Amino acid sequence: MQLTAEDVSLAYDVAPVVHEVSLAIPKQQITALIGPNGSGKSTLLKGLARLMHPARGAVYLDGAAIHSLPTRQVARQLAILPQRAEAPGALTVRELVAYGRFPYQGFFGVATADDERQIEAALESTGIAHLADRLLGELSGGQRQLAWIAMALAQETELLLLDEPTTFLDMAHQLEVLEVLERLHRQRQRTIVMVLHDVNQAARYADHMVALVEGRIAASGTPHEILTVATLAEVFGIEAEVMVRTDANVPFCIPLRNRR
Amino acid sequence: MTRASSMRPAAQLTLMLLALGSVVAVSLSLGTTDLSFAQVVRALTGRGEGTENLVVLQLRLPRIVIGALVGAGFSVAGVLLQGLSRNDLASPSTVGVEAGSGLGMMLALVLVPLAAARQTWVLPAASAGGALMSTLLVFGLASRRGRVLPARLLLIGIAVSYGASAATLLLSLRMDFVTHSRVIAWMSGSLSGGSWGTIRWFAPFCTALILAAYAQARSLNVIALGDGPATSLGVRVERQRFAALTLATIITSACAALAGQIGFLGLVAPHLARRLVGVEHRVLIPAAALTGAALLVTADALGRRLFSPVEIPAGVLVGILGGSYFLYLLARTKG
Repeated sequence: MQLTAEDVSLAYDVAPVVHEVSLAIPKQQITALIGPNGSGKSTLLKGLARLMHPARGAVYLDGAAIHSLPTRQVARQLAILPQRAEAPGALTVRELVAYGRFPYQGFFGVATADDERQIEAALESTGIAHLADRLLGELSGGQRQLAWIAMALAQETELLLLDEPTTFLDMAHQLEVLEVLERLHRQRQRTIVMVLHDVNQAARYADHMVALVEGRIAASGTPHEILTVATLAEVFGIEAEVMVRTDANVPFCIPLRNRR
Repeated sequence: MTRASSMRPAAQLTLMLLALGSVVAVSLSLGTTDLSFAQVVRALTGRGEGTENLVVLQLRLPRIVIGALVGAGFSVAGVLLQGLSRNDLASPSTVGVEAGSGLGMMLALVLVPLAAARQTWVLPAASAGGALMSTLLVFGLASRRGRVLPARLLLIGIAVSYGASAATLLLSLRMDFVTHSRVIAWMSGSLSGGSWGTIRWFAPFCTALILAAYAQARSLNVIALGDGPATSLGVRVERQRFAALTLATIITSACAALAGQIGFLGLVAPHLARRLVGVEHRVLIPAAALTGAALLVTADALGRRLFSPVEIPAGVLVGILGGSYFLYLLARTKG
């Protein structure tokens, strides 16, 4: 499943937030979209997931314009988890996860054995099976985020897009969420695209990074190519020291001062 | 909010149906002349005497049937409006549908000669027309580039409601006494005008609309998660929202044309149903229909009985009962 954008411009109002961006999401890899606030990374993600209609250009799913495909068909191939998704607190975790089967069910929404299996598998792989019968309103922020991810997993799509899945979580829960995603990518070869604020987390978990500045792609490449003194200065306007973790060959940076 | 019970949905709905049945049974025996259950049963089984038959079969039963249908209709319209706007405070009276239907009827009474206005189809048609106009206005003002913003929907709905009510009031000032008292009776919401003739077209119509609402239940469940997740799951959110709104408008205008402004029922009954069965629309819609029906039949029976022979309009009692219920909830909620 190949997701590409060609000359995509996206606008909430008249002024575009994303300008003529072209990119191809590498298959079966984790791609991280990074950039400063207002750089258009969340907007680009929404455009890729057909939540926004491009003002110009088009997004293609295996060569077909995504907006021309039946939305239920797209829903079996691509799932997006928007930022700060809020569900009715009176829903149980299992009910939320079961909604992931919506694009597969007929008019009466009768759950098949396969639906049940996918729901259980999603609860297992996110490690929240023990919370299945709890109400969402009673859960912590981290648990709720895992429940949403489980819903997206139950959707059984090859592509999974996530908008800042770790924001508002404490460090342990941030790592928990990212480890679930990494496991998913490794064990089931899913293609994952996520917007991340923390460049060190992005470098640690992503295979491919795309940096946006003012709605345009400023740089893209492997974490080693993106996490450089020059790119961090250009993208975030900061002076930083870049080091490499010798145990894992993963680059990380220590921000020193603002240069703007 | 927590689940009030862990009973299976089918059991819950059966209990609610039984509750509605008992409300209807009690309501059949209450009125200016109280009848015993034996008398009611006799009349229902075709073995009654002249007066019993007249009171039960021609006066009370049609009125109760219409009350149940209208109550179910307003309540389901409320569920639809709350679902599509993701706001539990939406109801036929807060999104402008009801006030628009009132204004439409008022215009018909002013513009069409009284003799013609007695035609059975004139007022329902005017009511539907007014409701449709105000809905289009509200949705037009609440949308940006073809997308309806749920947060704006309520604010604009309330504004349009006030505008339409003001226009209705203005028109009523120029009316003669007879028409005016008829309008006041309608505005306070009364079931006194029902007959088997009305039921013949209204019952299938109302049932079809409620079934159509039920067909949207699964989409409404997903829309409750937010526009983004709903789109991700393959729902065409804008189209669904428009379909649900159209349905709610038609249901409201038909019910308002028959029984007047009892839209508050569309706020109270879904709220009560949600506390009993939860937020899954496939259970909530039938539960809300049963709750709405039972509430309106109860309100109407109380209205007939409390200060008999003076009748209190059902709409007034719904207001009093519903209002007290909300105050009770408020008093119980801490913080």
